[in-house]
Amino acid sequence: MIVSYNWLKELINLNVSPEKLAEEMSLYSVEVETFNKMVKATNLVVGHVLECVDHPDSDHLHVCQVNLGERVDQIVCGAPNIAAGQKVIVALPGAVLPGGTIKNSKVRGVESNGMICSLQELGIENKYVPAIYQNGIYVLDNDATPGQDALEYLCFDDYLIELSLTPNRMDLMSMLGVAHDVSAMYNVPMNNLECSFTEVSKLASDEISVKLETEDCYSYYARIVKDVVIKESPKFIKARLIASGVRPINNVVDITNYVLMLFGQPLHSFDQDKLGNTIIVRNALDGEVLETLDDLERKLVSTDIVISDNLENNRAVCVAGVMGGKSTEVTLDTKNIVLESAVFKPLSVRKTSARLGLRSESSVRFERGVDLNRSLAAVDYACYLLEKYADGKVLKGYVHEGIKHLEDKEIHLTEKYVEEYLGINIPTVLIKEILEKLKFTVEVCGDDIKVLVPNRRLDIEIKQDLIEEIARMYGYDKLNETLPSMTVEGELTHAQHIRKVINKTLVGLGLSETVSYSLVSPKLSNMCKVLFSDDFKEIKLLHPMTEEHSILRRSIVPSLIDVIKYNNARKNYNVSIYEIAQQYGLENNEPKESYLLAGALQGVHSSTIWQGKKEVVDFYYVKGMLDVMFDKVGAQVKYAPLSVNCPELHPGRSAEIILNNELIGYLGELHPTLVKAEDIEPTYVFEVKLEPLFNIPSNVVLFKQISKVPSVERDLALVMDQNIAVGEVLNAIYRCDKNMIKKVSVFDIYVGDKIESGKKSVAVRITLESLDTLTDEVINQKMKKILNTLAYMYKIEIRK
Amino acid sequence: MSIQEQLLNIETEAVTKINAALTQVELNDLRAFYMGKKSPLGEIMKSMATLSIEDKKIIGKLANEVKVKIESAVTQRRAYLEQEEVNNRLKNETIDVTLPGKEFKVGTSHPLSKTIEEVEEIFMGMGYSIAEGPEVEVDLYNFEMLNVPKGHPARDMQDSFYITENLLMRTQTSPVQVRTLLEKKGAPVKILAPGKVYRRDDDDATHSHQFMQFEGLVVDKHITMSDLKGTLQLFVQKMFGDSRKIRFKPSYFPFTEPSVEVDVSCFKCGGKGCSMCKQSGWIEVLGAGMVHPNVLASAGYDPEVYRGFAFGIGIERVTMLRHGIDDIRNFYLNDSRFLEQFKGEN
Repeated sequence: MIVSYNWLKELINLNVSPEKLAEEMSLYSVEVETFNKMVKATNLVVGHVLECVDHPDSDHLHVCQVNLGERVDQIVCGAPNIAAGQKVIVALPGAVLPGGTIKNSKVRGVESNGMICSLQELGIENKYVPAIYQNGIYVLDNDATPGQDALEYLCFDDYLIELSLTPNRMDLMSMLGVAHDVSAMYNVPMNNLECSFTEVSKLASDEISVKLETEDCYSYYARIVKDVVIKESPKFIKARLIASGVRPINNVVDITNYVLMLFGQPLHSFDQDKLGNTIIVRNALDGEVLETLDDLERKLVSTDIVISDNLENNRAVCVAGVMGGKSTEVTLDTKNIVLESAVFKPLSVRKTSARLGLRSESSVRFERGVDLNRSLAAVDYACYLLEKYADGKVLKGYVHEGIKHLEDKEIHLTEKYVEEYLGINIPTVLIKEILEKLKFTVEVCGDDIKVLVPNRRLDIEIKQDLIEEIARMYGYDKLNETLPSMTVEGELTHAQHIRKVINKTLVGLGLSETVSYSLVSPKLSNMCKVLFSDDFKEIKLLHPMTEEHSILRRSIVPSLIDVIKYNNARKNYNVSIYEIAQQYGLENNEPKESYLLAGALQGVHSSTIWQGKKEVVDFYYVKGMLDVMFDKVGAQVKYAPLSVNCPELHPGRSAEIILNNELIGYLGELHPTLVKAEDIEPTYVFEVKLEPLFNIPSNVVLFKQISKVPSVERDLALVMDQNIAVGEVLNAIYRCDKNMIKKVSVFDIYVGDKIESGKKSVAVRITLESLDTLTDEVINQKMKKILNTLAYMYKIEIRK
Repeated sequence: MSIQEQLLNIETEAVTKINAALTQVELNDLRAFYMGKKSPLGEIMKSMATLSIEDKKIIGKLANEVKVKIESAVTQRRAYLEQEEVNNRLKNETIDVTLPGKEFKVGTSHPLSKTIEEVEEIFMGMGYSIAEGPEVEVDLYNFEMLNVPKGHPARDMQDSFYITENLLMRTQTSPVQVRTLLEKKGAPVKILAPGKVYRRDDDDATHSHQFMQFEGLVVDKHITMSDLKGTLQLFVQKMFGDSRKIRFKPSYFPFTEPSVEVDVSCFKCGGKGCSMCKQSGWIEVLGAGMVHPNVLASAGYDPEVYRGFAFGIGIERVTMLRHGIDDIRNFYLNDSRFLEQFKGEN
């Protein structure tokens, strides 16, 4: 909604500058989106072209002598339609136009002291310029006085306040609605609209009747105006329509639009001579076709409301509230018109306009709700304007069907309730005063404040709505600043805490966090199927905007591969990233989401290049890093070769992560084929379900006695079959005495000609610790047990 | 030459040589020579037999003094030589400390997570808990119970990603309000709910089909709109600086009444007007209001007894404002040149 400041000033006695009004409307009424002068150009006057001769040195320029009121000056003009005798818009030297500043100059040797302007040169959009003036200067009517301010003459000397209307404030979709709010803001009265016209003796009801055959039309007024003369609208109407963003067409169409902007009541005009004598408002038939004003054939459905007449099997003549039909259109030949002022069901109009892709100033208002108490005043005002500006003769009376008047809504309040709600006291007298400024009826009876809210304010239904009116008009700046007095404590849940620990640990290990899109492509959706099975079905959008974002992801790793690809393509290498996000899927047809942690690492993780040292991410780097993280959250995990088929991973370099016999994650190198296809550097990825980690109870560490004697280390070189998993051997050693064996580490692996082929030698260091001194006897006994166990379980021998 | 003179000569000669010794070995040799049995001092001691008792006393004392002095010279020289050795070693070991150190990968939280964490800490300090809810949400919680029935014009504002007729990607974090109220069953509520939300917007510099919000909700018996203002004033000061002010402007959200937009005095110009605040001195940051009685009632809270306030912020917007980021897509492209800019912020 764009508010014309001049128009508003005509409706209320406003004594506030446009700048201040725009600023204060944001604080007290509704947000102001933009505030501008209607025309920013300056120094424009009316000129009278006294003489116009061809430029001696040009085939298209003209040299004009222009009467500027105080003087006659010479101006060179290139417009094809310039002619002597015209009244024109002249930009004087010093004028600032959107295209630049006007100066005294010489045009091909001829002095030119100003510029004769087109409307476009003033900054008026082309669509508002009448067709005949679109390729030349704009010619004013003869009543313009030379030297007069041209913007004032055109009624363009206005300020425009564009409101950012919230869906509840449909009442502000009219100049009268805005006038109501602004008059309350400044406590200034509204002016009476002059609306007097003469009715001829013939009754409208003799020529037309109305039938409502659908409940989706609440009210329908028809009036008839005869003998209209179709012509241009007066300047103020055209200017105000342009200000409101509506293209002037002719007086009849412009007047219906003008009334729409003023009252918020959409009107429709039919050419009476093309219309039958009965108007029937009904639901459309499925498949019914209507040619609308924009020359398109519209196929209708039964939820659409149409206006039809009694001709040609009750043909539809208008899509109610949305767009008129071609068959009854008002044209230059129209003499007699039927004016419709109706109110339709908002949802119905909304569905129809959305389906047809037709959103108009009318449909928008019907969608939000139109005040039917104002329908008659609106159509009467249109009659007044048609008599005045289209020489129309208004038939006596109107035809009406449906609801004529809706009663005010009654809402009760107390001063105490307002105080409890806002936290400040506003005395009853002040509450009454504020609500009365808004033209609500207020009766105070003891503590009770009874408020009658006019239908105009469809948004006000309950006392809280009234509190909003009181608070905004009283001023939100007058609220106190207090804090709620409550006795609740804030704390993180265990899961939130664990997530924080994981975040901190991974960032500390040099990984950067990413946030990627939850919605992915079908291709990504079917990658890395390790932590979910096919029973965990995809969740697909009904109407995705693009296929790229059409399915909710079940794994984060594919998104991270995309991030790696994006970075590597921009020569950002050595990427190491992680993300904690949801996986989504259907489990037994129910949506389920749970947290996953995913990571992707590649390239160098630390280096001192000038010393020739650099450490590159490999499987064991990622595994060690995960171990740190699992340690931090108290998870004792095991690793085993990946048992699930995952084509994205290197089959020999991928592992599953097991917690309490449950597969909770995986890590591995991306398959070389994928790496090549995606054109990325070799990359390691991991993914872990977080719910099992959230389920590990938080533990308080119980202190264990520290041994007073130093620990003892024993090294063993163990020869075993090459296919034996060392991790299992280490576990087997550890299990020989979980109390005494503190640590088992590997410090060398040898495969070669010094041992039997098919075997490997693994050098392990075993650290033993006890509260008492460890005697050689005890140690040897322990080592013997270990060797026996290993020999028994894995046929492992000591290397000779 | 008298014996005294001989002793003093020995002392002078020994101390001179000791002080000139360049190595520990040389020093040890000198000490052995001057302190040993066959030393010049020893020779003199042997010749003392011929002297009188008086002279023996005098000479003996003198000889002892010479011995002590030589010994002391050795000790001093030894300490000196040891220090020299250390000094030499340190000199040889000196490195160029200006050469680059080992380069480690430095990790960083995502800038959006940093904002969330900061906001969470501010509100946890005020006694709020962090609430979460699913992103695949039922229509009932995302719209209906938030006072947005089917056909409500507010559904226009947030065209949604539907999955089935009744299931959609949540368009706001507000359904967490509903879920929390239902779960708390009438008990006081004080929560902050950050999270991802989704709307049918084409991705461009200022729009993203996926973005983040946080939502605050406080419900109890004596909550007032002044409490809302005080809470947000405190938050804004902690988040954007002590001298920041806020102002409320009328607005509309279906689930609050009254509803307000909250402006913060511009953190670039302080309110004088600049390019950041489009010369207004204010920046629109939050939406807020008093919880609509329909929302309370549908979750089982009697609106005649309980009141509450709620507020919400776009996390991207706040983060963009704070860091001067001009394109929302930066957050979701995860270019390492973008992410790594935030590693120094803690």
